[in-house]
Amino acid sequence: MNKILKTCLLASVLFAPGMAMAEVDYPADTVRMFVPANPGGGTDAGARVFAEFFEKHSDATVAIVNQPGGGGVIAAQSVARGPEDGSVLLFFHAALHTANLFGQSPFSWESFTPLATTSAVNEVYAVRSDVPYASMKEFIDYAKAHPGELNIGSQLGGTTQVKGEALNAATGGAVRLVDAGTESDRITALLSEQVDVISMSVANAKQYVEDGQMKVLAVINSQPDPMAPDFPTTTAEGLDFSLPLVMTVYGPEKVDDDVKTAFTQIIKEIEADPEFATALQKQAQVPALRTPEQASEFLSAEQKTIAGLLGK
Amino acid sequence: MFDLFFSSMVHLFEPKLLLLMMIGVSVGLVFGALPGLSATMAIAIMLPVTFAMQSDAGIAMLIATYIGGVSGGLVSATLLRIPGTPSSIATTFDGYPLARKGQAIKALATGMVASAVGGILGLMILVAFAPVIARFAIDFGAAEYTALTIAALVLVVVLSEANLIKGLIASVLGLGLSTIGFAPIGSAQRFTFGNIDLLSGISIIPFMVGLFAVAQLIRDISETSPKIEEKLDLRGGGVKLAEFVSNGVNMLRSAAIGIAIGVLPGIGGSASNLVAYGAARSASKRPEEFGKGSLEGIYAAETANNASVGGALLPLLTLGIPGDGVTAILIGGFTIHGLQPGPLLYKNEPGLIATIYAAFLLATLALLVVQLLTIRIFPRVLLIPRHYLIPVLALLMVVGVYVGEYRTFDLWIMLGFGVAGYVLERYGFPLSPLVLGFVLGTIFETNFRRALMYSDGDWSTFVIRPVSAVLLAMALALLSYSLWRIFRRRNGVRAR
Repeated sequence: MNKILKTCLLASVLFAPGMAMAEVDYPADTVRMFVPANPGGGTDAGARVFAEFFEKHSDATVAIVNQPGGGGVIAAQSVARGPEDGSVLLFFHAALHTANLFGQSPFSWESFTPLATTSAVNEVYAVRSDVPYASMKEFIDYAKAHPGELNIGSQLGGTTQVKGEALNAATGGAVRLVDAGTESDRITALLSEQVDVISMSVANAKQYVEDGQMKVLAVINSQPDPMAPDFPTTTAEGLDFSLPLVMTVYGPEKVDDDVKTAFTQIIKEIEADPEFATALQKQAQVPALRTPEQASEFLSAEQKTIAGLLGK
Repeated sequence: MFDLFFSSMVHLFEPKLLLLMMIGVSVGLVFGALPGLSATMAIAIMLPVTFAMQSDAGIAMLIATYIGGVSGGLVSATLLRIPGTPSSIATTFDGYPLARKGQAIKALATGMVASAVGGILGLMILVAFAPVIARFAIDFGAAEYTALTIAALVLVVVLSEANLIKGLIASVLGLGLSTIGFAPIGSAQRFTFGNIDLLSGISIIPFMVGLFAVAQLIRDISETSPKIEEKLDLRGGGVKLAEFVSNGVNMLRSAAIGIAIGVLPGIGGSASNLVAYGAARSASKRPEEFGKGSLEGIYAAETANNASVGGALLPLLTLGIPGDGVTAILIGGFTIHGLQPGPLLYKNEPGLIATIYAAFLLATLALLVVQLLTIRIFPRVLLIPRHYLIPVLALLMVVGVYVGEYRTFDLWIMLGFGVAGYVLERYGFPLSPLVLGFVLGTIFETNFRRALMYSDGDWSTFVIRPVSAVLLAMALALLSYSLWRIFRRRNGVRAR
């Protein structure tokens, strides 16, 4: 078995087109990357693209393990006390912070070793096209003039609640925050006039805007999304928050130093590979690469922003 | 749409594509037949295989896998009384007794024909009315879901089983079990006893495999059953034209139920077969035969679950909204093949939609062909000595449940519900209200709380909204009618 595997590896190395490329020596031969989401969704897609490029630029092979249970707790539990050689990783995003802040999970980002951030998905605030407000400013004015009349559909207990709370704070608490479930459920709730504003992914929003069913108030980021450069950003609309969903790779609480060193090199290799951005674009994601140190800084700031918005 | 549909048919009628679809259907069938492995998993495994294919071939293969996966449950449900997927639970009620009577082939063939009819009826509705029905599905809000779950539960409790009180207890037990873990809205932890494994609640696969499959193995071990003489040489599978024709109305009704439930995002095939079975029993002239090998029961269950496929594809294609776990993964597959499901897909890419429809039809036919070709192989399972069969099945269940989320904890859940399922059935508690209560519990709770949030705490939302009011009135009428019947029966006994 091992022999066959080695032969195959040898063959793939010999015949690989980009032979000149440096392959970083990763401490573990095989990596199990736990993804707290079902296959087919955005988180899973981000993980699979990253895994592909991780394999391309290192000597390790990556197996994706989907563990969607408990809003991420199950996967977090599998990784937090894993071996220190980098053979077990967690691929997740800001839901790790929210689950911890809401008391749904004992694991915070500090229960892990941040190793990288890989890509980002932008969300927008969207409303139906038949409403009297067309921009963020008009929406806020309308909401303030009609307190308690509008509601924001979020997934309570998830990352979208943070986006709902942030918008609600901007209106001075004039809107009601209600639960409308996952993105699909939120779209349905918005179209059937059960809720008045939702957050949704840029890729979906583009379709509904083009179809004339929705209007976009703002992309929830300080930078415009390259897929939809004409959507205004929250910053441009005068709101000072930016909450892209950033995909993060974590190792267990204790990780050998050479894992971090390898990750720093691999991230740099991927950064120099133009195909990474192309592959992400198909999944409506943009590269957001950070080395272990940069990722730690980023996560600390991200956690503080979210905790601040939730008043915790 | 129809001319595009036929040109796509011609395009797909290519040997290579047909072969790919046959493979997809077969993989789906195997995954559907094995308890613990589901259509969801079959598609998840086929996805990477289709990466390298052209988009139409890849999509055709995924659709074929989906259809195979939904139908595969039939074989194990009929022969072993082990539903391979939640969508074939009702098939065990009559398929298995009929197989025990030595008519395994007839039971299988009936199910296969019904599957094909259900699939084609579902497809026809999909082709003809997709945008109209999609609008209906959108307007079906939180209050309506609440009312629908109540009505479906009452229907199954009242209609499918003889003992109303035990049925009610079972359904309440199912609802209770569904509350374990985090509340679906907010973060309250319920019945977790500080155990981190219970935080995510009880997953449907270990629950179902335990309740039906493990319990059945316990029964097989503990009870001796008479030796069966299998008739393995029935011509044409023993399906009689007269039977088929007399079940016409039954099939139309079951398909309508299957489509209606499939269309609504979130409920899906696991509920539709039970509801259709209950409805068929209440409408039947021979309700006493249900549960003893009634053909009507098989027709109802198998038509409904395949019709749900068409239903579930409908919001997926017109709005990009998945109806259940399987279609959620299917969306991922479509995206990889450069197809962004959403409101524009239906308008801008009618050619692709037509390809999907054509693939659906061909896959349904391929399914029938594969099934009829293999029909004589599977009943031989019944001839295998049980001391060989049972360990193999137990092994498959353990593997199937484990690979769902790679958790050992799920195996204990499975074994626990195995014992529970055996005991419950022993004391005459019906399992279908239990399963339906479990499946619908979370949907009910979520929508109930949402409806009250949307209306700002105003309870009248459930009776002001017309669809919800009608559904609740139906549920109430059904319940009072059956209570009245029990009351009358008791009085009648006394009078005599």
